[in-house]
Amino acid sequence: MGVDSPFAQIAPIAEFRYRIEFWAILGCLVLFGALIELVRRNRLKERYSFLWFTTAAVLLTLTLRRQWLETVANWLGVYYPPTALFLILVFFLLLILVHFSTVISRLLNDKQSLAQSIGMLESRLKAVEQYIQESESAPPPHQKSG
Amino acid sequence: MLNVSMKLELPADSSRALRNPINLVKDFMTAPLVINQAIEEQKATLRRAHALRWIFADRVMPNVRPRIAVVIPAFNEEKNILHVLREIQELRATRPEWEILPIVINDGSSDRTAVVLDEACADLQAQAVNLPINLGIGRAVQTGFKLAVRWGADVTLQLDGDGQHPPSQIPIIVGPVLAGTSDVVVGSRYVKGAGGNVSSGLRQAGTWFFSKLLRALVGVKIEDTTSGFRAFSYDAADFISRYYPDDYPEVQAYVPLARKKFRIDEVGVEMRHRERGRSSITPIRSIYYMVKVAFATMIDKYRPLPKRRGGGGKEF
Repeated sequence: MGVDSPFAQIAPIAEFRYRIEFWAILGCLVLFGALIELVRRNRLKERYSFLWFTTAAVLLTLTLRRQWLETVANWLGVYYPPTALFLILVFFLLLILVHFSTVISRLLNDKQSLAQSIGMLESRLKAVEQYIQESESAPPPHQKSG
Repeated sequence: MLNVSMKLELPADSSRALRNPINLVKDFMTAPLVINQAIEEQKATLRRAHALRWIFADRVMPNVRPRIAVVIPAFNEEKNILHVLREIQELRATRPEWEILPIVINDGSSDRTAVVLDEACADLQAQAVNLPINLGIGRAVQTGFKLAVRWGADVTLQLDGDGQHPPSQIPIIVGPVLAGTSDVVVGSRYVKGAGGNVSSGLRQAGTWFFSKLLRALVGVKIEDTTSGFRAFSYDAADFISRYYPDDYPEVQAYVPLARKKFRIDEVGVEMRHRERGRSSITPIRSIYYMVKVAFATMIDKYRPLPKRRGGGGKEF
């Protein structure tokens, strides 16, 4: 009887604790797998995958090392350790988003420079065409008079 | 290199007329055709010369006349653009001592601007650049500046394609730059001697605000800060062609220019209302414009800038 009551109390908590860890680990592993597969198929550049890999690695480590997560939670002032996990996840997502904004800005800049070059080259090409066309349809006067 | 002689050669074969007087009449009858042909030939020669000048723009021969490049950004201006180009043609006639080259930047227009330009440019001795996508006024103008610098323009000026800036006012803003007393000259609606004020109240408020902001930030004293009618010296154009703000370049361009110690001056000019078409500025956009430009201008003060090159001389 005396042995029964503590188990009845602890068991559901322990079960819940393992459940969330199970999902966190599964999520991280799926993320890892998906990232490696994307890089392997050249759908994701290595340089843009590193931030994602770091995120997955940090989350996985903190999930497996409960002790570390509790230290971090304590350090951040979070009572319930898994919440700290979310906080860290949000932080990394923000980092990735800012990184993407800089990448988009650079792409926009490159696109604009390319469009400028195309426009300038095209105008020059048109001038060449014009010159050839004019020369063929009406040879210059000094050739004609001869 | 090119023989652009203007001689008309009439069928002046006198022996033909002596042999049979009827030939004189015949020649007389066909003279208009011959003259027409000669004019066409002359036009073709001019077109060829114009094309050649553009093809070898970066291998320029020493300039005899000062070169004035007129950069005209055009976005959906099929109705206005030819009018502007013709007015520049008129200016050319009154200023034969200048070599004027209009460079029209068609900024990804969705109307027939590209077609209109394609048909008219060779005869109006203008150059058209069709950007494949819409880049916005700043980038469009920068494209023109890049070409103008490559062409070796002594003065590069910006003129809007909607007819607000009368080409007849070009000599007013070009003068101080050609004389070497100034690097950037702004055509202003507000300075003494300007032909009246044609802008709306909201725009005027914004212009006043930016005037104060620029004075506080970099000590540039300009009244008409939103005027796009500006002339640049070769050095200033070269700098601008490497560093020009994106969306609303009028105000923002002054900060880097002032930081690089370019001399900026303002002269009064006349401006017109838009003749046809519709301005791209709406009230909501104006507010976005104010916020964005104010923010960007302040950041610009602390931004790394490219080096100022030249120092009077051209690279080529």
